[in-house]
Amino acid sequence: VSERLHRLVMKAFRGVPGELPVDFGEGRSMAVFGDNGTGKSTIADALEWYFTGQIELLSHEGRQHAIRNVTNGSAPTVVEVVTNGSLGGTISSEQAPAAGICQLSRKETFLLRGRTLADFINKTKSEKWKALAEILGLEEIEGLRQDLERAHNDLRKDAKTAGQEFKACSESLGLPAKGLAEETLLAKIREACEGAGVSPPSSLQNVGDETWQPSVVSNRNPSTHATDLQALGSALDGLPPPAFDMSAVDAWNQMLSSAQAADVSRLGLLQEADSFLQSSPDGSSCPLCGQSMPREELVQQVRDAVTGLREAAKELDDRRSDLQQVSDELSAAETRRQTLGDRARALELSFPQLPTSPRDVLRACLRERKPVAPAALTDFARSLAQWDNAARQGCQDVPPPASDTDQNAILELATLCEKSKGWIRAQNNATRLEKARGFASQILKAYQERQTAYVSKILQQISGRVADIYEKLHPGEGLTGTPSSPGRPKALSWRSTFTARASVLRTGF
Amino acid sequence: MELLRDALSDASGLPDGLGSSLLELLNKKDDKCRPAAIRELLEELAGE
Repeated sequence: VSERLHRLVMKAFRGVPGELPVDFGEGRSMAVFGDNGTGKSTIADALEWYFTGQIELLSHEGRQHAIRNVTNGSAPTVVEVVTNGSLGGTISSEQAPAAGICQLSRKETFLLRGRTLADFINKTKSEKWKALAEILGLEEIEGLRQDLERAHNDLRKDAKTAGQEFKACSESLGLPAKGLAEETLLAKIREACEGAGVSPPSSLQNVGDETWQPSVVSNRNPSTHATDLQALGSALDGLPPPAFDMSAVDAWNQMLSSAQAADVSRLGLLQEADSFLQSSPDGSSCPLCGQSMPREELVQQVRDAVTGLREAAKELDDRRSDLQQVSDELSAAETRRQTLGDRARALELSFPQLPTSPRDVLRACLRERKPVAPAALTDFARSLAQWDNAARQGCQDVPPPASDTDQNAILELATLCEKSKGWIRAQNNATRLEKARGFASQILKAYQERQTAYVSKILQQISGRVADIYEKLHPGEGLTGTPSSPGRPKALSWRSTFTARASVLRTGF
Repeated sequence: MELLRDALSDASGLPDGLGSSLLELLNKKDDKCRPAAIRELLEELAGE
């Protein structure tokens, strides 16, 4: 809402027996000061009554009748609000405010009276920031930043894993980690082609997209068993070492042990209670426990609880998603080895049994929101690493097939081709993910800079007005107010600094 | 969304069409699906 208040007229309202108009000029921020009992809060009360149809403080004390000033006989109590937009109008003791205005006012938080401001000042730093973000509509902006950050973090994690897989493939082919890897691999293939009497591919791309087929290999009908055995050995060499993100497990366990997580199950119930209170405007007892309390206090308490629990539920979802990714990685590691085990059985090799997977336990923990024992994952990773070593050894222990030199050269070429295709796939995957991560990083950085600039501008405006008002309230102190720039995106501060000779006064949070 | 539009014009080296595709996607997806959808779009464009 960007409307500004221009004028307020009160008639037979609170301490105003007749009619009192108040002009707000252009509707800029202003300070109202005066002795106790001179009517500062009456202005706030009039606005609250107009926008909400009640005065919370009076309702709380059971003194709604005090809205009306009866010293002027039977004249109706009237408040008229003039704005530069469509929110203005009139409320009287005989006419309720427009429904749309009441609905709109529920979305806003007003910091009007000294008492409300005192409550605000007494809030913690994070509560103040939360209230300010709500007033300024910053939650949606921050929500998008978090989504961009999440996409970036997921890509970073997967790009790292893809990079490790590519490195393992490169090592199994004896290729350099950086530079000349493609040239080296192509040279190896050409050398193997020469040994096998096969026309070499013109580029590595021809090997990857299979436009180059070593037809001589299939024409000479080499031992399928030996080819498969070598291919299996290559696949085992290219297996990424088993490792799981234990920080996701720790974060999940910590979240579950927190008080918010324990309360998340009450969210549905409280949402129902919130809806119930909205649909029954007269209700003034808690729909959950029956306790009586002033309606506005009850509505606010339920709404605060719903907001808090929604945040906790979102955080729990994030932790669940991270743990789900660990579960997916675990399943992928297991499936890769099961496939290799099947290939080994087809070749009549005796591979060891795969270790018992904690997959089902992990899924149950996710489903039933239970903590995960970290040892279950670290033990499994260790057992998988032992299995990898045993499987590689099992492949190497098979005696080489009795074949002539030509056949060995063709087998060597076939194995190299298989490994090369895997290397190209891993390289493409790692490159694609790294490029996507780069895009995400650029977008996130640019968005964060824009967000910081935007929020800074708003906070500087607030700081500037605070400084102006402070100067006007303390004209004899010779203070000069200067708004301070907020800091980092995640630690924005709102400060105003007032300097006078050697003394400095800072206010804000 | 306006902030994101400005941020996308600040960022250099992004592929053509990324900005408009991202904004279109964010207007369609609900909050819960957004991170996965953003990631999918970026991967798709990185693979081209």
